[in-house]
Amino acid sequence: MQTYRIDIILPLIIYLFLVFALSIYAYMKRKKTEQFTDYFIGNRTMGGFLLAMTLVATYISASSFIGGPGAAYQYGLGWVLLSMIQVPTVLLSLGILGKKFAILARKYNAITLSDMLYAQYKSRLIVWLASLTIVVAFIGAMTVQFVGGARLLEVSVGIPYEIGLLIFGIGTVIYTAFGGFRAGILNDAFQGLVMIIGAILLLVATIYVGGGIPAIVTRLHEINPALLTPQGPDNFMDLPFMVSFWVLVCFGVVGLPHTAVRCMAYKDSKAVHRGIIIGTIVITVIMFTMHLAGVFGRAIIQDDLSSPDGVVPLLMIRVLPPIAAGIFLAAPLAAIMSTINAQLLQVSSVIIKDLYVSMRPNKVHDDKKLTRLSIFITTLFGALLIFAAWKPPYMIIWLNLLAFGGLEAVFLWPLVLGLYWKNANATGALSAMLAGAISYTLLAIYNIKLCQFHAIIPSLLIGFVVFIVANYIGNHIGNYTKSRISNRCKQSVVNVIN
Amino acid sequence: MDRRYKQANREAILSLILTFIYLFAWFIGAYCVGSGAGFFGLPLWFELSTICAPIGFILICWVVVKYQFKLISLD
Repeated sequence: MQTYRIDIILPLIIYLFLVFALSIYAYMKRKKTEQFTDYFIGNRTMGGFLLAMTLVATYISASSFIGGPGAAYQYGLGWVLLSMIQVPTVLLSLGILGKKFAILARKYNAITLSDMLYAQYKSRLIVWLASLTIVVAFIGAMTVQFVGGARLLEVSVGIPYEIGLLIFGIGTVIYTAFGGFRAGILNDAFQGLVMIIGAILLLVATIYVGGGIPAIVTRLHEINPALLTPQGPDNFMDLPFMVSFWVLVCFGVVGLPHTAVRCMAYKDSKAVHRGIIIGTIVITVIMFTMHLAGVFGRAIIQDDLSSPDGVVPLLMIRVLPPIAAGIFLAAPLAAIMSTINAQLLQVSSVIIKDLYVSMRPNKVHDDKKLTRLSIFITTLFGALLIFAAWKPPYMIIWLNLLAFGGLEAVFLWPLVLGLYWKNANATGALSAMLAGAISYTLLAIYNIKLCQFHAIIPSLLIGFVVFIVANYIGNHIGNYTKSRISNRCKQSVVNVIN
Repeated sequence: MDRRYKQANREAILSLILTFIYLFAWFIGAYCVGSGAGFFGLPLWFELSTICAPIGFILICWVVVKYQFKLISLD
C-alpha cells in the first residue's frame, strides 16, 4: 500500500514543482516599470494560445472534474448533454464583450471590472457595490475550491485533510501572490494541458476496463434504461432544468468578473481569433471526456457510494496504472488551483485598486509600493481562506451556491448594456445590480422556483426590466435637473448683466 | 462612431447567432431523433447532440472567425 501511494504521489510532487518553477520564471520576467498593471493583468501581452487556456482553466473548476462526473454517474448520458451546453462559452465571452471591451479598457487604462464600470457610468456607488459583490461571492467560491482540493488528496492518496489543505493551500497562495497575473496565465496554460491529457487518459482507460463501448452501453441498459435517455432517471433533467442551465452556464458566463478581466488582457485581434477556436476545442474535449467517463464509470463501479463525488477518485485508482493515476490526479488539482488563482487576484485587485487607491485619489501612488502591498494582501487573504476551509462553516458552502449565479445576476446587464446601449446610465445600472442581487439571493435562499426555472432566470429578467425602467427615470430626472440648472444659470447671468 | 466599434458590434452579433445555431442543433439532436442506435454504439440522440453538434459548431466558428472577424487595432 505504501509503495503504491508513492507511485501516485511522485508525479504530483513533480507537478507542483513545475508550477513553482513557472511562477519563479514569471516573477523574473515581470517588467520593472508599470509593475502594478503587470501584477494584475500582465500589461496586456497575452497571445491566442494563452488566452484560450487561461479562459478555459479559470472557468473549469473542481465541479467539472469532481462534481460534474459524479452527477453524470448518477444521471447518465443526459448529464453529458447538459455539460455540452458549455461549448459556446468561450466564443460568447470573447465575442460579446469582444474587441469593443478591449479597446475601451485600453482607452480608460482599466485593470479591473470596476474600472470599466466607473468609466462607463461615472458612479462611485457602482464601484462600491461591484467590489462588495466580488469580495463576498469569491470568499464562498474559493473556500469551497480549497475544501475540494484537500478532500481530493484525502480520498485518493490518503493524506489527512488538514495536512493536504496546508500543502495544497500554501502552494497555491504563494504562487498566486508572488507570480501575479503573469504566473497565473502561464500556469493556466500548463494546467490546461494537464487537464486535457488527464481527461482523455481517464476516458480511454475507462472504456478499456469496461470492455468497449457496446458492452458498457448494454451494462448501463441493464442497470437502468433511463441512464441512456436525455431526461435521465425519474425525468430529472426536464426542459426547465435544461433551459436554466443554458442561462446559468452559457449565456450568463459573459457577466463573470474573472472571465471579463481576461477579455481586457489580450495582445491584439489575432489573439482573440485564435483564442476563440483553441478555447472552444479545449473546453469541448475536457467537458465531453470527463462527463462521459463519469457515465461509463457506472458500469465499472457498482459499490454503494456514500457520495457521487467520490466517483472520479475511485475510478482513477481502479482503471489507471499508478503513475498515470498520479498524472490524472494532478488534473483536477490543476483545475482547482487555476480557478483559485484567478479569483484570488480578482479579490486583491478589488481591495487595492477599487477600494484602497480610490479612497485616496489625491495621493500620488508609488508603483513599487502598490505592487508590494498587492502581494501582501493576496497572501493575507489566501491565508484567511485556508483558515476558513479548515472547518468550513455551513454558511460558506452556502455562499458558494450563491456565488456563480449571484455574480451573473449582478454584472451581466451593467456590463453588456453599458457596452452596447448608448443610453445606458448610472441610475439604470445601479438599480439593475441591486435588483439582481436582491432577487437572486431571495429566490435562492427560499428555493422559490418560478415555473420550475432556476433562480437565475427570473432574477436576470427582473434585472433587465429594472435597468430599462430606472434608466428611463434616470434620463428623465437627469435632463430635468440639467435644464433647471441651466435655466437658473441663464437667469443669474441675465440678472448679473442687468 | 469609430469604425472599429461597428466591426466589433458585428462580431458580437455573429457570436450570438452562432450560439443560437448551436443551441438549435443541440436541441434537435437531443429531443427530436428518438432512441435508435448510433454510429459508435451509443444512442443516436447522444451522438448527434454531443458529438456531431459540437464538431459542427467548432467548424462553423472557424469559418466565421476566419472570414468575418477582422484584424483591427485595439489601441
